[in-house]
Formats: sequence, structure tokens, C-alpha cells
Amino acid sequence: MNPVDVAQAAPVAHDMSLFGLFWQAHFVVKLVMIGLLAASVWCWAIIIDKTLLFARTKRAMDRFEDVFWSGQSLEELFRSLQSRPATGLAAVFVAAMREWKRSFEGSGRSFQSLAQRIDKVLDVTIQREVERLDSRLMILASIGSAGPYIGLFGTVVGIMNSFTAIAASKNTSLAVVAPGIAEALFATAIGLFAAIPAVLAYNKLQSEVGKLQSRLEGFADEFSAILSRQIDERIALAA
Amino acid sequence: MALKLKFNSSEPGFWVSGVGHVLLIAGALIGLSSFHKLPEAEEGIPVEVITDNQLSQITKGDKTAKEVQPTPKPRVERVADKVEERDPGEDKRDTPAPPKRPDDMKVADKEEPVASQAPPPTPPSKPAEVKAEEERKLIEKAEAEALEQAKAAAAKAKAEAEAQAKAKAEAEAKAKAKAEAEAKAKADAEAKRIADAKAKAEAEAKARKEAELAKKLDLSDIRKMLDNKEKNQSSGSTGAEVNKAPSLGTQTGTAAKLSPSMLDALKGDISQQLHNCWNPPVASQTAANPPVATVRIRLNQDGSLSDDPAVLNNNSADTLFRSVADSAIRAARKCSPLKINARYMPYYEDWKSLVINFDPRDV
Repeated sequence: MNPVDVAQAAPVAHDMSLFGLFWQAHFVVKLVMIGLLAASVWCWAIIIDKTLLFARTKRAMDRFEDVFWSGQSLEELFRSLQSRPATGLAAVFVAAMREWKRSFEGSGRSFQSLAQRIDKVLDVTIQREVERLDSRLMILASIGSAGPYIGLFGTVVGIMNSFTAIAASKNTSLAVVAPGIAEALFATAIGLFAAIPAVLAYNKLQSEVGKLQSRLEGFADEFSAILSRQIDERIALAA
Repeated sequence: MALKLKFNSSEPGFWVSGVGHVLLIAGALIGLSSFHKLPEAEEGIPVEVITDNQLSQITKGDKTAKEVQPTPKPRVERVADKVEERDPGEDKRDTPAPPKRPDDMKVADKEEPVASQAPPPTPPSKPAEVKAEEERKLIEKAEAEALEQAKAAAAKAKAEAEAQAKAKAEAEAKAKAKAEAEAKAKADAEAKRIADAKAKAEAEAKARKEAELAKKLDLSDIRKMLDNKEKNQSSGSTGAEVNKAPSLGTQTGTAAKLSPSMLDALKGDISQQLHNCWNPPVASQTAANPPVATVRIRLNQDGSLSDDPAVLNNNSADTLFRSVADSAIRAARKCSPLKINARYMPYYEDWKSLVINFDPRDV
């Protein structure tokens, strides 16, 4: 067949705009595209939320440490923090102090394993805090790793579809093949568009979580050292 | 996880991200609404433009040869009395490439269906004869039938005349019928003869055409086509003497090496130089119709004279001619060596002997 004849016989006007690419795509490809776009929205929501949360947590930690090491009495600090829900270092401090108070306020003074109990409480609180920071980061990891595959799935389905169309139309001119492949590749493009920020943000946020966690642990160790010294002094006084 | 659909200032991510994506898509729809087109891909056809000058310079030789040899010769791989131009090759035997159908053969092909529609596929002259014979038979039959009818009618009429009283009238009617039948048969035969003549003329025209086509068809081509199951092989072209280094050119090219226009330019150049050296006799310059000296000069490659210039014409009737001729020869000697442009150097063979006209009016 003469390519000129073909071009004249089949003037298939393909809308090559972004919306045209989406609209002419196969049903499955459309679903994939919509899903990937939603994933992109979600992953950016998580990125923004987490970035803000980490910034806030870091600021709160700085402020708390300033106050903690300013020489203010622990009792006063505890009283001022007790009233409102605490996060970060404050939560760790409040949990440990609560356990400490409980041990002294009861009728029988239970010093024997107070240090161990405080350590346990600190561990649990740190775990809870880290969990709070860490939540939803796995979604980023999932989108980052699965996004390209989902996009590729859309592309493969789209290309399969366009090749069957080519086989049906018995015309292999590039002008006939190209629009279908462009549509199909658009799915991979969206997949990468969602996945690349997800992967980058996941790595960044994960390292932030690690830093905050080590900071919490450091503070907990120091605080538990202070408390155990106090306990030992009390035991010595009592004896 | 449950997305908080109410705006929460501490976790604004969903709304910010959603609005951001909507803006991005809107921007992309506007900004990337049309992709720029690639330049129109048109199939390139290699075209080489050759000038008239170059066309006149096509020499005899081989299309695939590297360069034009000083003496353009076609490639010859074997010595033979008969000159044959074939593909280059050293194969044991010749297997010719499939012959190309000439254009008029294709035309004949197209007209074939019309020919096949014609009733007699057998040679056309014969069917015409057969048809004529058939026609004659048909006419005879018709006549015989008419006669028989007439006879039968006559017999019947006689019998009836004998048998019945109104016999005469009936006999007359019968006779009339007979005459009519006869006339009808005759008319039929005439019509048939005209139709037949037409058919015959047509058949003859067709036969002539086919014969013409058959004349054009080379039977050896058919044999070649039938034999052509093997790859093209060639035992090489033959000629009087072996020439393994053919000149660049075509099999049909016959041009001289130096194109006519270049030769004219060279001649003009040389003639200009010679005229600059020439002092024609004063008398010839003032004469109304001065004699013209035609001088042959032979040149070396450096432009110097390889031989004494010679006057070719002789116009002894004119008293001035001798002095003009002598002065022309002196001019040729004086000008030696002539300046020859380097571009003419490859064509020395073409200009080693030149004929120059010395016309006193040109000075």
C-alpha cells in the first residue's frame, strides 16, 4: 500500500493534548491513571503533613530541652506539662514523672524496682512517639516502589490494546501506531510522577524519624539516670 | 487510614496536595495543550543534477569505475572476437538476470482481456475462413429450405387444385408465399454477409496487432525467463583486449574527453593569446576584406610548440595572404609557450593539436 494513499484514506485526527491522551485511552489504562493520580495526591498530602509535624516536633524538643536544663525544678515542670497532652520529649518526661509520683504517693513506698519500671515506661513512651512520627511513611514507600509497576501495567495494557487495533486495521504506518503508544506511555509517566517524589520523601523522612528517635532515646537515658540517682539517694535516706 | 476531609491547620497536607495537583493539571492542560510537531518527514529521493556540459562529457566505460581514465575504455575481462558487455564477474558460466519487459509489452498485457473476449482464440485468419464457409453453408441451407418450401407448396397447390375448385387462387397464394420466403432468405443472407464481413475485418485487425506484438517479443527473453531459476552469474564481459581498469562512464557514452564548451573556451583563450602576439601587416588591417590564415599549431603539455605551426589554407589569389600567413606563423612562434589553464591539463589529448584562425579584423 502506498503510504500516501493510506494517509489520505485514514485521516485519523488524534487529539494529542494531555486530556486527549487520557480520554482516548483504554478503560483499564484510564483506571490506572486515575489511581496513580490519587496516589500522587495522597503521597504529597503525607509529605506535607509529615514535614510540618517533624518541624513542629523538633521545635518543641528544642524548647523543652531549654526549659529542662534551665534549672527549673522537675516538680514544677511536671505540673505545668501535666494539664495538656504532651508530645515528644515532654511526653517522655511526663510518663516517667507520673510513674515516679505514683511510686511515692501510694501508701507503701515501692522503691525496689522503681528504676526498672521507669525504664519500661520510658521505652514504651518512646515507642509510642516514634510510632506516631513513623505512621503513614510506609504508604510513601509503597507508592514509591509500586507506582512505576502500576504505571507499567497501564502501559502494557495500552500497548496490547493498540497492537490489537493495529492488527485489526492491518496498517503498520507509524502515524497509526504512535497515538496508541503515546497514550500507553502516559500511564508510565504518571506512575513515575507519583513514585519519584514518594521515594525521595520517604528516604528523607525516614532519616528524620531516625534522628528524632535517637534524640528521644538520649533524653530518656539521661532522665532515667537522673531519676535513678534520686531513687538511690532516697533509699539511702530511708535506710 | 481515614483521610480527614475537614481542613485541619496542623495537618493541611491533603488539601494543599489536592489543590496543588489540580493547579498542576490545569497548568499542564493549558501549557501542554499541543505538542509541537516533528518536521514533516518526506522520503528523500537522491537526485544528482548534471549540466548539459557534464552530459556531453559522458565517456565510454563502466558505471562502477573509480575514475575517468586518460583513454576511456569499457571493462573487458576476457578476450573474444565478439564484444559483449556483461556484469563484472569470473563465474564459470552465464546466468542472465531476468530481462525487463519493454513498456509496449505492458501495454499489450493490458489489452489482453479485450483480446480474450473475442470469440475465436485460435489464429484469427483461420476462424475468418471457417466463418465464411459456415456462412456460405448457412446461405445454401436457407436457399434449400426456401426451395423445398416452395416445392412443397407447389405440390400441395397442384394436389389441391386437382382436389378442389378454388385451387387456382390458392396456388397463386402459395406462389406468392414462395416468392416471399425466397426474398426473405435472400435478405437474411445479405445481412449475415455484412455482419460477417465486419467480424472478419475486426478479426484481421486483431490478428495484425497480435502479429505486431509477437514481432516485438523477443523469444530469447522467454527462454531466459524460463531458465532464470538461478542467481545471476556472469563470466565477464568480452572484447578485443583485456581491460581490468575500466574508465568511469556508461556503456552508451561516446563523448570526447573535453566537452565542446570547454574546448571552445580553451580555443578562445589560446586564440586571444596569439592575437595579442600578432602584428598583422598594416595593409591587411585597412583592407575591406582581408585574407584569413588558418594555422594548425601542435602543443606540448606546457603550452610550448611541439612542431612548427603550419598554414592550412591557401589563398594565393589574394596578394596580402602570404604576408598575413607569415605574420601568423611568426606570432605563433613568438607566443610560445602558451599559457594553458591547469584545468585543461587532464585533457591534453584533446588540445595537443589545435586549428586557429588568424583574422586581421580581430586585432
